[in-house]
Amino acid sequence: MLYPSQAVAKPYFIAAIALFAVQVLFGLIIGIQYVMINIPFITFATAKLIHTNLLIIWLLFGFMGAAYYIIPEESEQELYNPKLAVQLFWIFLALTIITTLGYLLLPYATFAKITGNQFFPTMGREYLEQPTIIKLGLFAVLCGFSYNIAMTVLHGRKTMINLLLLVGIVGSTIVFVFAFYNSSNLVLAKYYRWWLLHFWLEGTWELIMEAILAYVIFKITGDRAIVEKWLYIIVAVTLTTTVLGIGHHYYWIGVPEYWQWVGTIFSVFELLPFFFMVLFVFNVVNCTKCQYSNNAVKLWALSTPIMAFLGAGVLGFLHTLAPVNYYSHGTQITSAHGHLAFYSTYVMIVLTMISYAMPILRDHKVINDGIAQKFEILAFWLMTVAMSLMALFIAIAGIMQVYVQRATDLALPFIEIQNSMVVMFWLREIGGVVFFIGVIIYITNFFMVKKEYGTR
Amino acid sequence: MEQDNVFINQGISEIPDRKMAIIAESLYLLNLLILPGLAFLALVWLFIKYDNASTRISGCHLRQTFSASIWVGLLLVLVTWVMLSTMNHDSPYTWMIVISYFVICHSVLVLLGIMGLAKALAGKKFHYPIIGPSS
Amino acid sequence: MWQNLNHVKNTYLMKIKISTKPIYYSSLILFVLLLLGLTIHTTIVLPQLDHRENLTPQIIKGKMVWEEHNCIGCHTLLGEGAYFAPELSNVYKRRGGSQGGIYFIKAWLKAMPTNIPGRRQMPQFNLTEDELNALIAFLKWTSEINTSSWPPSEKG
Repeated sequence: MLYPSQAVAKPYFIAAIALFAVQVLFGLIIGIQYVMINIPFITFATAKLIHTNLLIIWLLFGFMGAAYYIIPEESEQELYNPKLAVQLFWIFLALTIITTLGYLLLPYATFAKITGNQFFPTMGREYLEQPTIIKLGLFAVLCGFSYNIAMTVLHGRKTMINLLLLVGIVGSTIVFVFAFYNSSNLVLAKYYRWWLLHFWLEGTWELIMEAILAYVIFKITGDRAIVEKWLYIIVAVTLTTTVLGIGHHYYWIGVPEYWQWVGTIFSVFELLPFFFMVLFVFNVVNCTKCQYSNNAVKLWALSTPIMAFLGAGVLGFLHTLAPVNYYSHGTQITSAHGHLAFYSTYVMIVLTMISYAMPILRDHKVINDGIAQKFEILAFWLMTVAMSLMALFIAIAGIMQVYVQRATDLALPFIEIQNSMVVMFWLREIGGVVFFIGVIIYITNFFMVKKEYGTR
Repeated sequence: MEQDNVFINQGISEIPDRKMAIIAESLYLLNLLILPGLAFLALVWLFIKYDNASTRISGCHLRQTFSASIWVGLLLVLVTWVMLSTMNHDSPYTWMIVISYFVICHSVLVLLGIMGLAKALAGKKFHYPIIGPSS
Repeated sequence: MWQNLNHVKNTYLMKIKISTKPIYYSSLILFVLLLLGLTIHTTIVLPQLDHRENLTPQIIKGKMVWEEHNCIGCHTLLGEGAYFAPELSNVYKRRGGSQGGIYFIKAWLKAMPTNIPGRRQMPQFNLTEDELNALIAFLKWTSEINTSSWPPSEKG
């Protein structure tokens, strides 16, 4: 660790991993409820709420940890205010726990009432279910985070990587303002909700992911120039395609039909960043002078773009064409894409960063083929294969669903339509259990390190 | 896209050998992604016209992409057509099988193409597993 | 011929020394302007599509009821939400429309949970009569938005 203030990343990474495990656990709950087994004390809506909200939160913890680690090193100076970073950590964690407990212990309507939602209603919309005051707290955390990072970068060396991270972080903070707009006109409300979700998940978050990937690849190759050349292409296609790619959320929500054309054309090209990311890492693998002592990091770093290409790129493309989307909108196809895209793009990049940075933060050497690494690599395979299969099963369920629910005149009742997919839902749940085992093994690997070194 | 030589080191574009390899791989990918058939015809033309038996990387990539493209036609067009002709269109299972098969097959073939293109960019030889000739 | 092409391309490239930065920045700015332009246009023509002349305070209240009870946690509305329960943007039409849609939805909400074993359960939300009427008005209004004939089937 070149700069002591990089150490603030560690609590963020630990929180990220812990919340990841909880998130997946709730995923198992809703997976069971799908196959008609009712879990007492918790409704599907509540469990799903926690599953999706924790995902966003833990990924944010991961990005923050990554930024606090990368920025001082890239800027060649200490973090502007490490104390603030630690304070923000506790505030963010407290907000998360309060929100999760609120979801779990209170009926949603009660939670809405006691948090004063009626005075400034922003709750009850997918991914934005948090009480307004919590959203304000989150916005404050993001502002503090942006401020800290910005001051560090602006006073230090400016590289493509840290500038890109800065743009991603500040951009995410600014775009989050759209979380507070909730028109009483449903169409307008939906229209602007996507300005947050699309410009986060297919915009600023993608930039952050690309910056982290570039950083790790740079650490592997040692060649900043070539990494920056590729990064330029990747970022250029990301930004140019995402602006009007937002149109693919505007097909059927009551806005003019030209969005079907705009969205289709631009979102087809949203595949390009992932294409170039794969080309980038394969190109890197072929450089003869690259050597890196951490095999796990290499595996994570090279696999992330490949998986992202499949989950975000291919599965996204599959249902982005408006004529196809007409039939698949709001079906299991969407869920398949969502699961694999989130895992392959964002979960994997955070785990890649943790794989690289944790040994340094914990001040120990990486033993290649040591037991800790074996656990980590096993976890990688379990999670990646499980999620890929889960996405496949859900996608197949989605094809069945489109057939029976939309593309034919069968007019089956809802229950029968869901029953037609039950085999796939069971397979998906089994995949989920394997995935969860992968998460547990992943967590265990951090404790195996102590074993390798004996007690410290 | 793939043929944007601007970002490749100036040196590469002056080497016809490597450039040919890059073009061959790019045509394979274009055939899969955006110009099916047309890119294939361009690739066939290159394969016939240039020294496809050479031991240099241009020869290697030309042979590999030509063979892989033939396989692409068989796997993605012929097999799909056979499946659709023989299976009952009124059964959802037909569509589940055909769509899954096509998407998985196509994605794998694209990923192989990206690997091939990366090798070509790096000036190295590449062998498409199963669908490329052994040399 | 190949040699000639190569030579031409090399000198051409070197002459232009393509810096793609201007192309990239100008297309980015163009797309941003297009997005803003299309947004403005959409905002202007939207009243013809969403029938907001029908947006009464009751419907606005209905949207609040919808949000406060996290209906989106199980259902989809215009395809967005959870896939555990049916699409509701067309439920008013699906359950009778002006010929009883209101009564069906009200009765359904009041009768939950069904407690049928092995079946997905919907909670009882204990909505007041006002809230029920508002919610159904909201769902009715939603079903009348011009969504380019989406959903493709009555089932949603």
